[in-house]
Amino acid sequence: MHINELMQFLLTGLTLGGIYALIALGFVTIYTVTGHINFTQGEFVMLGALITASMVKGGTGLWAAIIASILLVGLFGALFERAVIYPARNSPVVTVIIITIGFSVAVRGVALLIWGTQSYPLPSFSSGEPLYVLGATMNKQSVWVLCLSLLAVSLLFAFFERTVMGKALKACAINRVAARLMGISPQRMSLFCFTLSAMLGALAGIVITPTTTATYDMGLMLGLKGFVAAVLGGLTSTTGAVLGGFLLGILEAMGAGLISSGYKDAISFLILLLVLLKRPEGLLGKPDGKRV
Amino acid sequence: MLEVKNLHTRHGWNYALKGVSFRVPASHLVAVVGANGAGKSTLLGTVAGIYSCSEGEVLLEGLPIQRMPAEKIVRQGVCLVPEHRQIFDSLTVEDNLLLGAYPRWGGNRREIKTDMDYILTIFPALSDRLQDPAGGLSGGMQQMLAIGRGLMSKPKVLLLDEPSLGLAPLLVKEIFKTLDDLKKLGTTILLVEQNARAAMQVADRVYVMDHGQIVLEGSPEDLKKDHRMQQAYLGKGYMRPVREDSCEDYAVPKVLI
Ligand SMILES: Nc1ncnc2c1ncn2[C@@H]1O[C@H](COP(=O)(O)OP(=O)(O)OP(=O)(O)O)[C@@H](O)[C@H]1O
Ligand SMILES: [Mg+2]
Repeated sequence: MHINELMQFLLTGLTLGGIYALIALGFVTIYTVTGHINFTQGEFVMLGALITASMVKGGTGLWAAIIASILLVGLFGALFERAVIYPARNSPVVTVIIITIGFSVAVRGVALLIWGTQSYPLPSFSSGEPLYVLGATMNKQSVWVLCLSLLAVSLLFAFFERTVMGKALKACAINRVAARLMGISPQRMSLFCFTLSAMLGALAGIVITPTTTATYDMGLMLGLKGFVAAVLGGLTSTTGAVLGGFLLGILEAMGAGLISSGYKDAISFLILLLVLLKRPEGLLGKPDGKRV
Repeated sequence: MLEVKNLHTRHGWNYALKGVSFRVPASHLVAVVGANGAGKSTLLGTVAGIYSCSEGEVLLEGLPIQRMPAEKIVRQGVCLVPEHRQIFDSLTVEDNLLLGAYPRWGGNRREIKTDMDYILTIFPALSDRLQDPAGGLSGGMQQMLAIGRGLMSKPKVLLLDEPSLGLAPLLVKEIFKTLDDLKKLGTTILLVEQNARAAMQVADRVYVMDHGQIVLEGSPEDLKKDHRMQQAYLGKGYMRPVREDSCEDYAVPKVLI
């Protein structure tokens, strides 16, 4: 096998990984701050993609459509939190998980009614020749995916490290009661997390659409992949989520390239099983470590 | 300043507070002492809004606050420094202090900075460790940080839950010296302690709590003379003798009154 080929898989993997990382960050942000696992995350991805594609089809400029779509999905995330999660805030964790699964099915159903089963394309963000990196090709959209996801991740990290709101979110994740005693409202933090995660998901869906097109059911698989990436990273660490995303993307691309592309999805679920069985604390987590 | 009237709180079906009443006048340090499980933490938790009471009132300068959630009560000016310190251990010392000022964020940043400098003069040991993760501090430093974080909200009343817990006698002495200083600077403090002797050295007024009720009250001088208090909490008789000025932690026997 050629080194070029490996390089090609690596690049493909990184591109996929960027998308998984964005979705995984949504899972992790919500989980650490509220303790809930939000399986509606994938639907945020789908909504972001379909709304952008429809708007562009309707004549809106690409970037305007992207920004509008991210904002709309953010709003949707906020409404979802208020209407569905907030009323169930005192229910057991499992109940809330089931609620999010149920809600995701409902959202998918509504999307099917609105958009039908056909797939919606989106033009590449910029045209031009693909780039050549160490003998492998990387089309312009992959560069966009990688750059935009890295940008979003850096902004998110800066937000957590530098702003009071970010620190308040961390405080809430570390010790909810103590955070309340400092005047930090867990409910407001929860609302914020769902909005933020919805926007991250939407971004992931938008950047992947020029390559894959958008369909009403794309959220299911992408959401699950993001979840696998989050679990891989330990579910409580933002750094872990990003690394988990890239690792999953690379493993998938390698597996698809070296074995068969038919095994692409199976690989990630095999990884999920292995991690859950052998290292439930994730690759970064300390064994037996408490939840942060 | 703070008035608690006939407060009842339950955990499940068990009443942990059965009609507790007392007042904390401005710039006073009031101590509530009691044995393990007497309901002291429940009392502070109820005042701070973590637990909801089933009956009774908590008045802050006449304003009833017993129905407010914890995050709102801080904004009214009642700040609880909780049991076991509960600092944000993976955040830095500085971030812990800054989060203490969260209720008045959006206000004047320079003022918050000034307040932080002021608190670092109260706890100078923290100044060298500002960028360290708070979880790496020693128990005593963590307690100082927890109190400092509480003070950052500029509370009208500071609630302290067992600041002596798990600390060496020398550190207990240091912490209580600081409490005394804070009181002299005009801070209103409601302190809850098992270490009755240490608490009585700084308190203006002491309430003794047992099984969710106040069973004795008075000035520290009066209580030191009270034979029930001596027997149960100050160790005369069947506890090993201790030097008068010591702040050694007492294992307080349950019930007895
Ligand atoms: N969250 C809770 N759920 C159920 N019961 C509780 C809870 N917290 C306290 N209790 C019970 O309420 C009673 C009072 O507890 P509390 O923690 O207020 O006592 P305390 O005086 O603070 O004791 P300590 O000295 O151990 O801190 C105890 O019998 C305890 O078992
Ligand atoms: Mg207690």
